[in-house]
Amino acid sequence: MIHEPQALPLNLIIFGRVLRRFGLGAAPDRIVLFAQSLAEIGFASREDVKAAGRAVFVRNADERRRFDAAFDAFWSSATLSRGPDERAEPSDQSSSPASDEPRPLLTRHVPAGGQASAHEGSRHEARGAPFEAKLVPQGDRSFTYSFAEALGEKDFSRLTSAEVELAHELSRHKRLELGKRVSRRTAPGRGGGVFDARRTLRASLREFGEPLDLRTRTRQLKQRDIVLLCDISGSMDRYSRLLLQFIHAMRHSLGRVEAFVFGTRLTRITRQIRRRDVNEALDDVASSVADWGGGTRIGECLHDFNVHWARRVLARGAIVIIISDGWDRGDISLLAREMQRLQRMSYRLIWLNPLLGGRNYRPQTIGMRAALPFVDDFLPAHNLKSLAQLVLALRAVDRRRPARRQSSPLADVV
Amino acid sequence: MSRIPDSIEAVSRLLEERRYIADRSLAVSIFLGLRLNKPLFLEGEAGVGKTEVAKVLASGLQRRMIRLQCYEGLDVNHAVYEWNYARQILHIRLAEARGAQAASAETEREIFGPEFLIKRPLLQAIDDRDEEPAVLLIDEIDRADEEFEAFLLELLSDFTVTVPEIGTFTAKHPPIVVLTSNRTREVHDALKRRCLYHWIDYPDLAREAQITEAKVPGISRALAREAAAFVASLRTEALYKQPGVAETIDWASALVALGKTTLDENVATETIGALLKYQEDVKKIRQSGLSGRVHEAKKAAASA
Repeated sequence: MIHEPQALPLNLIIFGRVLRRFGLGAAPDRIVLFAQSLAEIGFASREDVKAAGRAVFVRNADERRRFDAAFDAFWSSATLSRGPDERAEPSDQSSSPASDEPRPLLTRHVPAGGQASAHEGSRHEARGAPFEAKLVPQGDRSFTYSFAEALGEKDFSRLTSAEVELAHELSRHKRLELGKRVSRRTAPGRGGGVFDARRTLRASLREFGEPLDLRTRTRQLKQRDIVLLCDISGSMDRYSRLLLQFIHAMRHSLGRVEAFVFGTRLTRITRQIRRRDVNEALDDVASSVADWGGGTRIGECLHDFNVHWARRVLARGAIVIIISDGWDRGDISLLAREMQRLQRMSYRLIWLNPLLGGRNYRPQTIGMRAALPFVDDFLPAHNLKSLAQLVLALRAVDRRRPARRQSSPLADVV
Repeated sequence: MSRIPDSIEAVSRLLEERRYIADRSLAVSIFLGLRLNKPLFLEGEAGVGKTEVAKVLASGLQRRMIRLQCYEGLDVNHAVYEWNYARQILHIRLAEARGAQAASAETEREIFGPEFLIKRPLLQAIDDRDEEPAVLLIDEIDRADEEFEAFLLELLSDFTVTVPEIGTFTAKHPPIVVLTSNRTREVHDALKRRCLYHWIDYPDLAREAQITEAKVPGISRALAREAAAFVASLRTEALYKQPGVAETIDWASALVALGKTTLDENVATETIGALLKYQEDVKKIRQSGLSGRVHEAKKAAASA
């Protein structure tokens, strides 16, 4: 099938770089697998090649969109096929996409020096966002601001002393045990529990086949999943950096954390905060979020969460923590409805409000009043001490959860 | 026993013969999985026919199908092997009765021999006496926990299982592996990297009508199209749980059972529970007006 042995590998390598530019992990083993796939299916149909590429390079639905964009960008200017509908081009030409115009591609997608700086994580997780996968212009991040909502860059360059303190404070609790649940996995234990035939029999051999000592297995405890939803709208501006740091610290001391930020739309930042270095992680968050310091539509964002994410991240009795001041410019009845649903789907729903720290604060904003009936714990989050309070609240959520707030019927709220 | 298909068309044909109507890209993924001996990782919303792929492959290739349903806490004892303790104890008793030293090394070797081993799905798939490899379906991997995922990682890369008391089992022919996930949890990238990944989307209107027609006996072509169009219109709404193809088939069967040959507002109102599984969703769709939606669906069905 392969007529020009040098041209194809070269093009595959270039294709791999293009994929990495689009944030897809195109490791060498994948490239090799793709080459093997091409040897199996040939180049007769562009759609088949694309499907094979998807099977090899894509690992989730969001990546699929990016792969399609990258594929079209790369192969459309190659000679593989001249039009999107054109199939069956069996000549030598079709099998050597390099021969004609690989050079412009190289300069267009791969920055000089060839280091394909992988834009890691997915920048456009929020489903329903009007993301048209466009070509990434020359190696900068400015394209993420091309949305109408881009409201200025967030400067995440310096650590203030308070933040250093926070990092220090949280890192001291590295082995924090928050919100456990009983998992279905068992471990050898003593006393009650399920009968462990294997270990009992083993032990009986030592007693000449007499099962004197009955061994059991007990269920293990496991950290609950924690889902954080953090408000980053204008009114939260003062706190957002500190809170994102808090989220980062939670992620790296607990592990099982899903994180989202919202203002006028919901953005998932779980992948971004996976980076160990807090400054890099926050930079990455800053460049993936389009609605910094803008308005707030909590109801719409929660709806988005409930529809698109809840089934994926709340499956195992997760604790949901919303961090927001409750200023909402969206649909209030929608907010109440979605809060009710969110409470039902989560094991415990906690709301952290930075304003709650003020001595005279009463939850009087309409948004906060609509949401409050469905919140299990309503806690302040304006300084380090208040965050420590959160830790206590989480610790109380154990195998037996504290009584939940009984929500009044929806009709009374709206 | 039949051979591995030698072209993408052959895969499509094989699927179609068993009434599985797949789009081309799925056929490509399956073909590559078979040719390159790679596990196939199928992800998609509930009810789009992920599990069905393995069943159809097994029957099409005339292979044994071994299914492992995943759940949290799934461990080696349930997935790979377990000793038959009752028989072991009985054997010790018999040895005693014969006057042998019960705890002798001899007896111990005997009771940890192959005939006391219960093979669970993964070991069955690997320790394959047949000449042809089996189809191993690892269903809903997202329900298992990370610990099991890590174990699977090892298994899928070299297809060997070690039982300490007996030794190592190695697959003569690696089984054809299909993994499915409903995405209730992100499966680790390392596992996906061992596999070919395919996201099964909801089918387009024409294909869904075709599927409905193939799966629901006695349905008219017109009704199948109308049902598919109606479900497609539901999927454009922001619902908590969108209806899958399985729901379309259930619903179409209900329509046929009610003796309908065409869709109308009344029957849609009565049977909407076959499609929507949350009260909020049902309410939302009822409020948005079913008659208009039925009308639109009929128009779409007629024009498509």
